[in-house]
Amino acid sequence: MTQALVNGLTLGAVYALVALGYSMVYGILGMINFAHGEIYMLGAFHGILALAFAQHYLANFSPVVCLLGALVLAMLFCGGYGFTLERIAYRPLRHAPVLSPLISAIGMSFLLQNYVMVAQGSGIRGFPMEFGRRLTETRFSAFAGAEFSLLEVFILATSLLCMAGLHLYIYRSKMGKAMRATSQDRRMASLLGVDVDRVISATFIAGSALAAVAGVMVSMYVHAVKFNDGYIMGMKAFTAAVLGGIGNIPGAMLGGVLLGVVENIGIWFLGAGYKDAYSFIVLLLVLIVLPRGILGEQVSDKV
Amino acid sequence: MSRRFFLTAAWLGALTWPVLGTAAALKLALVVSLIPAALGCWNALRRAAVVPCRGLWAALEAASGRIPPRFQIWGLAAFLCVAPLFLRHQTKYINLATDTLIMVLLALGLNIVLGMAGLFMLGYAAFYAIGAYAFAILSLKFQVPFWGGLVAGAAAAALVGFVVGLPSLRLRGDYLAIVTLGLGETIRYIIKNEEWLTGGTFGCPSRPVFISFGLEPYSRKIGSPRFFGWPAAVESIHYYFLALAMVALSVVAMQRLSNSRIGRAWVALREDETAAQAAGVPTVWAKLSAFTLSAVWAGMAGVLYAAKQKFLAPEIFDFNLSALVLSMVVLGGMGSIPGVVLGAVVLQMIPWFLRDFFPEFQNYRLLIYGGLMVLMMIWRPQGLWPNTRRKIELQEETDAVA
Repeated sequence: MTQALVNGLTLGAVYALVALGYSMVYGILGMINFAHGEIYMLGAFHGILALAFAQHYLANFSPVVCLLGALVLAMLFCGGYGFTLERIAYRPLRHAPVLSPLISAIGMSFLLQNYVMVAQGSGIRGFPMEFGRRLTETRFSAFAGAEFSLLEVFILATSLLCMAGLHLYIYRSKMGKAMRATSQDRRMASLLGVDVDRVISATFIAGSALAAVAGVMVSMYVHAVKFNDGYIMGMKAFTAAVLGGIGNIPGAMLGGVLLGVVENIGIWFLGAGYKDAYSFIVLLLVLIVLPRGILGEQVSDKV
Repeated sequence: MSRRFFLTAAWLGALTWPVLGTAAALKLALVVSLIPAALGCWNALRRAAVVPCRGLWAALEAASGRIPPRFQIWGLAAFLCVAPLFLRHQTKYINLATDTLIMVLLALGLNIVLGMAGLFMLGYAAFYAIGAYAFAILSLKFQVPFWGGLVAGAAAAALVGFVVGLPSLRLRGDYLAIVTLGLGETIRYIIKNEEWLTGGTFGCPSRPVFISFGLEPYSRKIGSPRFFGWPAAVESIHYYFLALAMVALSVVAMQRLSNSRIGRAWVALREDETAAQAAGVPTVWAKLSAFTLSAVWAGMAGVLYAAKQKFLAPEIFDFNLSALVLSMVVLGGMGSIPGVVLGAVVLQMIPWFLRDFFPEFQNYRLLIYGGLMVLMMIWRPQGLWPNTRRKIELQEETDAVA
């Protein structure tokens, strides 16, 4: 039971990172970025590819440096993918009827998923574990017989660090101020001199970079990644975002952690066969019982 | 213009370099930077060809205008009935045609909920799976004949469709898409996990027992079934005609549905739910009936598939199938019956015809369809063969924006 809590907390922190991307985009554009899960998957692939490169060519660097380098590279490239995604698939449709950007987002999700499948194969791609061995092998025993590894601590710490960084970015930087203004009233913000296009691009880049961090860490935690991993992760992160109140950033964090814990307790009680179905059930219940989410303030007309 | 394309090409090449590798990323960049040149060539070609082409088009239109539309339809029907008779022993063509017809049924079903009622549903493959599995289990365990299985499969799908439709009473747009996707996935997990019922990952055989109009039951002793008393030596053609009849009936039913009271209620719902409700459209009933009917069509397609294939593997009913059906509806034109049929036929036939020249197309299929969906939304949101009413609306909307 406590073990389930510990694992749930770790996974939940990762869900929260991906959920932040959904929440930020929803807050500003009022739409769900269906392809966000694929960005997470791309992040995992970039991390693994960078580490595979390091394994061959940078063998005498310390694993920690390689790992951090891979993390940064994945963030950079995923930021690029997020930016490109918005430019190609969403910007031309900003004034189109509601269904159009949704279909375009789903199309983009197929495109990215199959692009990785064609380029990298449809099999499982393993994480080069010599970079993470130290992290997985150091284990601590916690309260009540539960055990956790250094990797779990690393994932939790990195996630918290990213969330704190995002919080600072949104509440302290000029761009963050512009983001908040845009999410309140896009038209008014643009009248007051905020470059809305730039703000939207920045939102996509920031959200995608967070998803990349999540991707690298999860691929290290479960030792592998597959081209269609993004879609299940996207569903779960979306559930987390809705659970916490969509458009609300602390809510996304809370929702992610709650979902991770619920899922792991569900596995503990009911077995792993329906592991991925729990989040759908949670999503459905939340949307019916508490459509605003836990921390959501305003009633959205979408629900 | 070309400078912009050059920058885009360099950007895309750099971005895709880690995933694609150097050679493929360079190729991609090259292709993107050649787009302006290709567009220029295309425009020049069009300008050069516009006069002869227009003449040809006008001649074709005049020729088809001379034949009354009723004869055109009967001619098509006659072709679809007679042509396969000459290909009776070429099972692969007959199978291709049957598969295409099954996809047409699926696309028509999705069109009810997506095109007519404007409710977004992902995870459509789940209803198809329910129809197929209901038929397989009934035929295997209770020797239920085909027609009984058809009714039962459609009813089972309808029941689940009704339940999946319930959240639509409170959710709109993107939320509905995700919830229906989640419910569809849950159904797939049930199929995968409940081995005692569905065979789980091992798959599930089905044993179609046909009672055709000659009342000739299928059995090992008697051999192949009879169709109108005619011994159908090639079984696949039997299924072809069954599918053809179902598609023909469905097209007629859809046409009548879209002009009926409920069809108009769906259009009103699609355009503006609040206004529809204010005008007295029973929105609860309209939404639930859209989901239920749409599931009925998927269930029938599933029954047909199970009877034809005689074996169900759970992987077939995954998200890719839902994606495929969705792209068929989007490509053809949401809400347009001929458009949806066209979309299904085109997207189902292309990979088959390309597989000799371009054997890897199967892998690239969803990549291309995904890109196609994005491009369609940007340049031609009404689809290839649009619904007249919808076309006018979309034009008005773009005019209003411009």
